[in-house]
Amino acid sequence: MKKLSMTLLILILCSLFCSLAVAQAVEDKAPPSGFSVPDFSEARKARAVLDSFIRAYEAGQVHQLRAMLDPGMIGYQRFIDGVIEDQSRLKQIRLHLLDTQIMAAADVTLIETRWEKRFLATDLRPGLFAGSSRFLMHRTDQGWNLAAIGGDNPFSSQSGVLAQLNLTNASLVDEARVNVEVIDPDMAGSGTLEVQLTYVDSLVPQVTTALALTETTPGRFITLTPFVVRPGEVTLRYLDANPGDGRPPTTLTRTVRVP
Amino acid sequence: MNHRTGVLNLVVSVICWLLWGPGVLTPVQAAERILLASNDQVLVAWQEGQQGGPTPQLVAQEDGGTVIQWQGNVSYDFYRRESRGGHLVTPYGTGNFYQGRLASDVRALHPRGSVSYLQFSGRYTDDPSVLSKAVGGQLDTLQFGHVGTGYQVAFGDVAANFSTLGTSLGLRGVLAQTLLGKTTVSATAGYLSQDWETLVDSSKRTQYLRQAYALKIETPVHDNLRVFISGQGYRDDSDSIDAGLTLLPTASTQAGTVGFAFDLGRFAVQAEGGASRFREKGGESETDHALIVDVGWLFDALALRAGYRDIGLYYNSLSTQGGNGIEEIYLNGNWRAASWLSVNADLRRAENEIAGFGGSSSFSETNALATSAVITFGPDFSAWSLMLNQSLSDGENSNGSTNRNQTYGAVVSYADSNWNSGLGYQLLDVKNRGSYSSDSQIDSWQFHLSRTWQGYRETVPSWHLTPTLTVNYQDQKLDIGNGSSTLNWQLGLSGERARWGSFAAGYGEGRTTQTGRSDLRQQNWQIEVGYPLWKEALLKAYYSGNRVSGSEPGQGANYREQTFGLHFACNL
Repeated sequence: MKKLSMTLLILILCSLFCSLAVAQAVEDKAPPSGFSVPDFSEARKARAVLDSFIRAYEAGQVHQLRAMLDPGMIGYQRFIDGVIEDQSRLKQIRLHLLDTQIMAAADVTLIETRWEKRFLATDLRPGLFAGSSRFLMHRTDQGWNLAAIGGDNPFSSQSGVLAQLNLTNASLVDEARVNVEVIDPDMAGSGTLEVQLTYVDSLVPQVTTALALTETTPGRFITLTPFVVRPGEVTLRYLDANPGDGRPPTTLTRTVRVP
Repeated sequence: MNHRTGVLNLVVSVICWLLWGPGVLTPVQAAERILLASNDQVLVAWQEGQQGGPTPQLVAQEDGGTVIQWQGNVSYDFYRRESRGGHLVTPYGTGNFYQGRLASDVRALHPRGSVSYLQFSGRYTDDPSVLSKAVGGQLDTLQFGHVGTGYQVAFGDVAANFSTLGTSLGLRGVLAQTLLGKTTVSATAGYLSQDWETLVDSSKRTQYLRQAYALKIETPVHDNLRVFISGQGYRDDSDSIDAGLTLLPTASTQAGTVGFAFDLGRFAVQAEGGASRFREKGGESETDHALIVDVGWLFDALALRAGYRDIGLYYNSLSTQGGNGIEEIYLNGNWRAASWLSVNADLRRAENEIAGFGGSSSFSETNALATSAVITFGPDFSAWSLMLNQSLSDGENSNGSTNRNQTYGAVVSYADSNWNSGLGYQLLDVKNRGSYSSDSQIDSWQFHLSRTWQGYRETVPSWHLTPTLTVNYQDQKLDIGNGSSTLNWQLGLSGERARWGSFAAGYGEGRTTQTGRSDLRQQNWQIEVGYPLWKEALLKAYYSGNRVSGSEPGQGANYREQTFGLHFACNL
């Protein structure tokens, strides 16, 4: 902790001195830089645009969302298709933001937030997704617009949300069992999901088995009945093909000890 | 002086130096000796002691001097919330809560045009639906820096936007940019952390601390051509959190990009290519590349854009704007065909690569066309407009099955100084042969109507009164049978009178029906009254609620939440 603070401090101070030294050298030069001071009021406008984007998503106004996006956005079509498919799977969407923080520069504003998305599935059963996102807002001649979404994408299944794995002990007195749950909004609508379960004990060196989970509400996959394992350490592996945040595919693991 | 005090003192010294230049002593130093200070410094010390008193401001004199500007605002909410239904259906809990917020923006305008600034905002609350760690505080923003002729340096929360494929993110650290001749050098370094609190307190972290750095050099090689090169990377600190708190393994990346921007009157082209080496703990290094090209033409009545993106499955950098495994080409045009007609069209083809177990991957493809038109009806009917839109997305899933999404929409609007109304229709048709369960057709209608009455004192509006009516209807027909329909309506009334204050009230109801199930009933209501205590201060009382009822016992969709409270806000 102390090492980390000191590293950061030294980094800041070194950069400060170097920059000011350079600054003094260029102080008298012509002013072409266009560097400007961040502005709170502009940051608030950016936040208002994000809020209106969220309201349009909740209301299912696909055309309005298109109008608020930059056509040059990377992954534009996957995003739009995900929004449309969300409208078909999820009803009465409510997106709640918390722990919101804003980093403002002159022409870009970064809004970091956690979110919870509540909805009803087509059979009117409730569901909940959660994640954390970074919204990059960009100021253009027409005002602020949403340039990109980092972290977990709350608007569009397919566009990248880090999956959640739950592996819980469901053992009976004479039988070791586990319950498996994977919540991956990117896989909503796929019906089933494949995971790997590995368990070991003193008798069996290692057993790895593929397990098909069943979708109950959009994006939530479970074992319909507890899966029988050997007592010992049980590891659940799931390949998240699109974990969000621009991160390449990654294998997520969760381990639990079953007595 | 212990270590922590020493570090704090050093940081305060840096802030003081940035804001008021060398020679200013920090508060700790000031406590130890008698100060001989300038007028500015005395003013600053007085301001610090006033705890939110009148804003001090020095006006630049003819012989030059620094102008200090300060803006701030505070707000405080005290409210009671009652909630039933559980976490799955409502984010709120029951209880009495408060939330205080403070924001401050101090700037020193130096005589030669440079600006020093210190900005922060924060909040303190006991409401866990606002801050997950409540009871507690959060520093929402903290940034300070100096902007001068041809350079800037910023600390704290810095938003670095160097390039699309390279660095485009927010850091807690330092950002410096300077102009060396015609060459712009930008550098940033710092940490990606969940917030300021987790940066300094490891016990609150649930994600790795990520150390990141980036450098970009950009220079014009011709009047119309700029080129740039960037290098960036990050590394997760494996010791920064306890094992088991995250599912992700630690990762590191090094990435480099080169690009250019060419601008010749009505024609512009930008391109950037990058390569990266990404590595996760326990895995092998993955090297991949990315390329983006954007071209734009601007004619008198036509604006065209075209672009190509190829982002490798394992390409990784410090850019928020990246995706993975995306190859996309698009053509987008805006055409003002006549004084009464504007047309937009977007044509694109996308291919997505999807990773599988054992290093395998599969591909999905999509071809899409979206068009829209805005029609106006001339000066005699200038309040009327009609907007038409349609889109078609035709694709093939990674398993070879097909999918097709179609939307059609139309909105007719009327807007003048008193009336505002619109009637809209949207059809969504979703078909995915790889996933039948939610294939459906959704018809939606929206209608809104509002009328504003307003009065003037001389030429300044002195009061207004606005009633509104909104009606929405949505009908979803699932291909597997059944489906549901929802009808919502809402009535509202708002008004404001100068010096008296403002009010807003509304009530809405809705009903969702599904064959074989009981109806879900939605209700919402809100009322708020605001009163200006003085020119820059507002006191507001509010009451709002939401309720869903009628859900069957096994469904668990019922909830009820209502909030009533007081809000005080003041600009300082």
